[in-house]
Amino acid sequence: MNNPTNQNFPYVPQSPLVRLGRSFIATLKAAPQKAASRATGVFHSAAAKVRGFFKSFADGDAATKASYLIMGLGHLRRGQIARGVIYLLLQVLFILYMVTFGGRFLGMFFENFFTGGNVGRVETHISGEWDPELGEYVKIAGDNSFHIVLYGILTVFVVLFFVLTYLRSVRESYALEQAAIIGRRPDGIRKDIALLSDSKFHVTLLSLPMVGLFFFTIIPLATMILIAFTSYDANHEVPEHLFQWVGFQNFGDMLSGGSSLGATFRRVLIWTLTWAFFSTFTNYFIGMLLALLINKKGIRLKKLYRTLFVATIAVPQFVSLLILSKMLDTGGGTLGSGGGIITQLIENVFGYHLQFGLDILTTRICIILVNLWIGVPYSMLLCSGILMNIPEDLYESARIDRTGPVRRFLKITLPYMLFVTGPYLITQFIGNLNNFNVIFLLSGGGPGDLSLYTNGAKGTDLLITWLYKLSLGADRNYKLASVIGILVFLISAILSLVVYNRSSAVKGEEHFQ
Amino acid sequence: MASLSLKHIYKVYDGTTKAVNDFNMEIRDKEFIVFVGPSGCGKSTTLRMIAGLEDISAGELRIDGDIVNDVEPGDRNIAMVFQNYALYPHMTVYENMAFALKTAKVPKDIIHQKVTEAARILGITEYLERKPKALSGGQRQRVALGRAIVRSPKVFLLDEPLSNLDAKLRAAMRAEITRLHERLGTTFIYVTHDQVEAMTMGSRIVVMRGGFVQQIDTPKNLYNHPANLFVAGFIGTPRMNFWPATLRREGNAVHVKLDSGSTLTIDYAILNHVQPRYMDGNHPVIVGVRPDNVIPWRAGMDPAEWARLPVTVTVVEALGGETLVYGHIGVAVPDHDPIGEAAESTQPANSGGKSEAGTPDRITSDTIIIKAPADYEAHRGDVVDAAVSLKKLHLFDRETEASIKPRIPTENVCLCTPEGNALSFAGQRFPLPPALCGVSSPPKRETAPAELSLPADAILLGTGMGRAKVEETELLDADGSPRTLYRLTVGGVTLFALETAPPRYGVGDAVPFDLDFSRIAVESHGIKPLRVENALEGRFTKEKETDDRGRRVYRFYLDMLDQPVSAEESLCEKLFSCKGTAIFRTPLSYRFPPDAVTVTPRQREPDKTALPGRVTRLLDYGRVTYAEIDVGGKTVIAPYDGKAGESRENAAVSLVIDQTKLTVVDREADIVIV
Amino acid sequence: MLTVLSVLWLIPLFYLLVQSFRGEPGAWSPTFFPRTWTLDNYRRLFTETDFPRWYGNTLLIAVVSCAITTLFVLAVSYAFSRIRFPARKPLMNVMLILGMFPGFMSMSAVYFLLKILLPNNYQSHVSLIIVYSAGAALSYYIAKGFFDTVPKSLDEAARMDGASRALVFRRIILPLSKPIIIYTVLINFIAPWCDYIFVSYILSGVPDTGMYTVSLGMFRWLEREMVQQYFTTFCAAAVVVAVPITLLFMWLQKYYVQGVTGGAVKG
Repeated sequence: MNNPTNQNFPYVPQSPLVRLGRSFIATLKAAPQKAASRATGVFHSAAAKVRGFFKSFADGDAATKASYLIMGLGHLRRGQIARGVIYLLLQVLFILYMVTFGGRFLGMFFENFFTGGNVGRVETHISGEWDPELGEYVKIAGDNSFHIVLYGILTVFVVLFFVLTYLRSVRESYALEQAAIIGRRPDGIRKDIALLSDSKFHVTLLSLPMVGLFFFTIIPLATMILIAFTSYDANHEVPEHLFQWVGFQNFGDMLSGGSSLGATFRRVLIWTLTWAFFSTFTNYFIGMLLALLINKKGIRLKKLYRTLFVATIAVPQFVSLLILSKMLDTGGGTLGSGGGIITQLIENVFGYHLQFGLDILTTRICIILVNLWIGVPYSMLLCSGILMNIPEDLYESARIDRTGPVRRFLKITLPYMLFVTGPYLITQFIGNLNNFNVIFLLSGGGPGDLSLYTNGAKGTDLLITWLYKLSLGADRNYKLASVIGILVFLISAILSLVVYNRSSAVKGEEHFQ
Repeated sequence: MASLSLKHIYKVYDGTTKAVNDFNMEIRDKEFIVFVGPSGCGKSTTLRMIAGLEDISAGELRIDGDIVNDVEPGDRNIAMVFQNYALYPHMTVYENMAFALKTAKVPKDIIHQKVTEAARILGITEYLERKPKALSGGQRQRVALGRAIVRSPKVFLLDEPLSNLDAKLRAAMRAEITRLHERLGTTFIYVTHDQVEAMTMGSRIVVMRGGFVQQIDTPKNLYNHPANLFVAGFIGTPRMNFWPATLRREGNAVHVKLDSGSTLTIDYAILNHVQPRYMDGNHPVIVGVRPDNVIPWRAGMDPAEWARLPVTVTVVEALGGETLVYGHIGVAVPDHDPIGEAAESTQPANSGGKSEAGTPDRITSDTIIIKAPADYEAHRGDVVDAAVSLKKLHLFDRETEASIKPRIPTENVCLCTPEGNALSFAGQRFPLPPALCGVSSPPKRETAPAELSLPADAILLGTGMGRAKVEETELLDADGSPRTLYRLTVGGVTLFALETAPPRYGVGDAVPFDLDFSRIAVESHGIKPLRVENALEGRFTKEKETDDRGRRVYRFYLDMLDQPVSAEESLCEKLFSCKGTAIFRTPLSYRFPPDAVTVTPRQREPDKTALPGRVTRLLDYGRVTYAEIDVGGKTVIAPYDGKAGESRENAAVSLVIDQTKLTVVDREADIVIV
Repeated sequence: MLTVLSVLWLIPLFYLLVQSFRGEPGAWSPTFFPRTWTLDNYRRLFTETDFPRWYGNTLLIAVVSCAITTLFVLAVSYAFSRIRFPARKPLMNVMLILGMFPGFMSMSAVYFLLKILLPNNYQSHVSLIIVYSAGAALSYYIAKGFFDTVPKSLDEAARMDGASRALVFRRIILPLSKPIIIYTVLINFIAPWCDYIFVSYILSGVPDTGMYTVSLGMFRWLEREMVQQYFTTFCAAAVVVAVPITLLFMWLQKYYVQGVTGGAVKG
């Protein structure tokens, strides 16, 4: 199969897009089977682990059996004192955590999780008792639904970790017993610590970053994903009110055809995709042209030019974008009302008052143009790096074939660039879907649009800026923000799958070594 | 100062793919061992396992007698030179060479002394302050060697160290490394895919393919006596000519009929190693002859030594010192493209694609390469005569690809006449032992000649009624155990005998000999050799018991067919060191030769030191009597001298197995553990 | 052509610069160049506003979070690139997936967590540093790509030389990773200067505006109520912020280009 000369199939040239599409479809087709075989693999190994769990209990001696109940006893019995003590401590801590704290939240978390209903039991309410000092009725603090979700999910993870630790301690203590049988002494804590700088060095390297990731990315993210399945918004603000589990209702609202929310979502989505498409490709092609211009033979001061353009990357975006937004500002709205320097210039030269921030279409076009200013130098840098790597003999052979510069670009440069930077383009597209800065700092999402207004979005809002406004703005709507976040994730994930599919087809990680 | 021992070394990926299979080798101190083979043959993997950079999936690696399977690479006292040199780019040459010593916290002045000494040896003193980037390929190579030298390691590992150099430099470095080896007197293990490097540098060469060792031998023996088609094709350039053929013996002449039509006739004396069954005129074989041994025919050449073959020339390569003539055997011009084919068939076997697997896929070809003197003139289309050296022919079985004319003949095949209770061959008559009397009745009771196969080590010199004359003795010394090969003439027939002892007879001695009848075979008469290996399935188990002083201790048992047999401590240690506690979960197969078993009449109840069995049949081979013993439904064959009881058949016996002769196999993964 | 383009590209920055010297007040001036030139805006910036404090705050946050982030990124990417451990593939996949969620989707939960962890000063610089550093591991990708190109045989040679993995990392790999270290430092040092989202989330409620970072404080100046009064001050502040960063960036440009090119081509 690898021998091309033995193939009887005639070679059919395909466009790269068709090829990409086909390989993507092939991946999708293969996915269920792959997933199934993987799932059975996981199932089998899990089943084997479960069997091992019971078998080692039956087989083990008293110390091993005891360590099923009290973690670390097996280790203590076989002389791994430090490890045993650590396991024991972990168990004690876990029990303390569950009794004093986790258990309560876990209970409230799951109480109505599957059936729908309040998150928490007691809403904050006024009791019948009069507080003479404050001069009002005593307020009784109720449950905080948000805390319940947060601590609930935290406790779920804690339980999960504990179970894994428990299984591990049981496995270890059985292995220790077995090792003792064949006369092997267990490694002491010194050896364990020494290994942390050698064969277990990854533990040293990864533990702190993973702790950070767990507490400040995984737990919050899991919480906010769950919020998408609740009714948490301005009307159910904690801690005054409880919110409810509502299942997929928010998704239904967001994606439904009829509701005003659905219409808003569709408009914002379409603009987001349009924006990502235009901003990615205009930047890419103009950046490439600029790179070609600078890299052309005979141009002097290449380095200076490159540096000049790079200046726009170097200046913090909030500075450059804010100043541009002020340069484009209309001042008041109508002709002759002054405003930013560019607006004034256009008005003086063309007699046209730029409707930046007033008219949706104008604003959108302006944003895409300004984004060129921001993004072209970046893709110029990238393209020059790659352009220099195009083998010179490709051009030489083209020159021998008397190919003109335009054809040379179309037939050699462009295909090469597209091939090499294909994954980058898609990554960039995903980046632009989430390009908060350009929109927020330039137009702030404006101008307003009546049909969008009720749902907190404006004319040039992307999903991501809408999300920001929903979670911070005046009409807080956390549940919708979470739904948008999840939908953005889905779009990104599908696009990333394309990249992954392609780059893994081109080269395996190991081949690079 | 270091010997290495590799026993049953395996490398298994993903639990299924075996990159290295049952690698066994004893490497003596100061040897220069070369692992050679096409890419993917497992040579580098083996080297990296020795280095400790790859885990050893199964087996035992010892350096100077210590098991080092689980020793970190840095603690094995081994140095390695990498293919891309792996010099630390940010350090100077001096720092590169000093790194290992610094890591080991050697005092600074000693580091300085060692590094400058190594630099002097390698002639890189003037570069010590440079960074690797500023060095040429050859200089980098020297630094890499120097980095290894300063540590005074026990073993030097070199992983294709010359493959990044150009051809000229490579030749120079080759010589330099050889000199270095002599100077340092350290054990070297060198991996390469280049057979020229292997041949010029190695004191012994290990040829590998597909994870299997093909042959371990000296360069000379590899060249002159390749063990199989792959080794023959891999070693030597231009590659050996291979022609499919059949052999037919007529009296003292053997006709080698090539599939392409020509016939070579050879004196039988040259082919007396070859087993007669290949000479029946239709057993497919492959004839191999190196281009060195194919020269242009000259008038007056001795036809007993040289065969004359007409060749149609397709390509002539004048190399300056010699001329290579490519062509086809025969005078007809073939209709396929001769140039491409000739070119293809002369590629070194390691050049990729199918030919990499070693089996020449053009085995049906009739292409020939002639090594002619430099002034030889020939042109495309000419028909020239080639002279093929008949003494230098190699012969291979076309099915198994193994050489049928091995250097060390392991089996004699000669004609014999079974006569009921006796066996005559080569003018000797041996009474058949009782075990063979019954079976040796031929279909017709004629005294027709039959083919006797007689393993070389089944000829027992020193006693017996046979008389042989020693023609030649050769001491074979592979892996440190001396063996002697005797060439004998017995009544005009040549026989080879192998003994695991130094030579004890001289040339011309008349020696009595006997036969080990348990090993002989006369296929046409139903005489088969006794099975040489017993195999019993089982597990390895533990029991908790109370010892004499009342303590609870674990005892370990070889559980053969659910019959526990106490495991000896040394065996337990080996098993534990190889498999750890997983040994209790692994299905095993215990294999042992009949000699490993001692059979005694069973007196009491079985006591976990011996296997209980019941004799089902006695096999009297004269010198030794064997018994077929039923053990839990399986038959075990063991020597049995029935002195003890009258009714020997059906007797209840106990079998004690010598556990040092036991082979333990992981039945699931098919891996030899001990 | 190129000259025209580069002038076009520099106009906004130049505008910013000249406006910072504008003497007349107000948000917009009808002319590109100011009518009166003055250094008053700078004087005002440093004497009458909280800007010096904001600058110090940002610098502190940038240095600390940059140090932590760089350590995390290097550690994670080296582990993923070089060490084969059972959890490696799953971890990498999980991190890939986590990276696809919009970063500040989880902000409100992070905010609550910070409230619990630092009940007294959750609206603080410490919170910001935590937020910037904690998720650092997610951006291991480019550095891993770099480590992947460092030949593995260097690690192996060092291990044969008796070095532990930690020593290999410290003595062999890190000295070779200068480009990627500089890239990581650069990116993470600049990030806090440019970030608005997280700062606005965490610090916008704080009563003392002196706690602000430059981006938050300067953004406030451009809000409708303040823009007339503060526009020229904003320009001056922008110059003070942008000049050092731009110079730093220009200085280390080479490494930045190596980083983005390597990352993009690897996909």
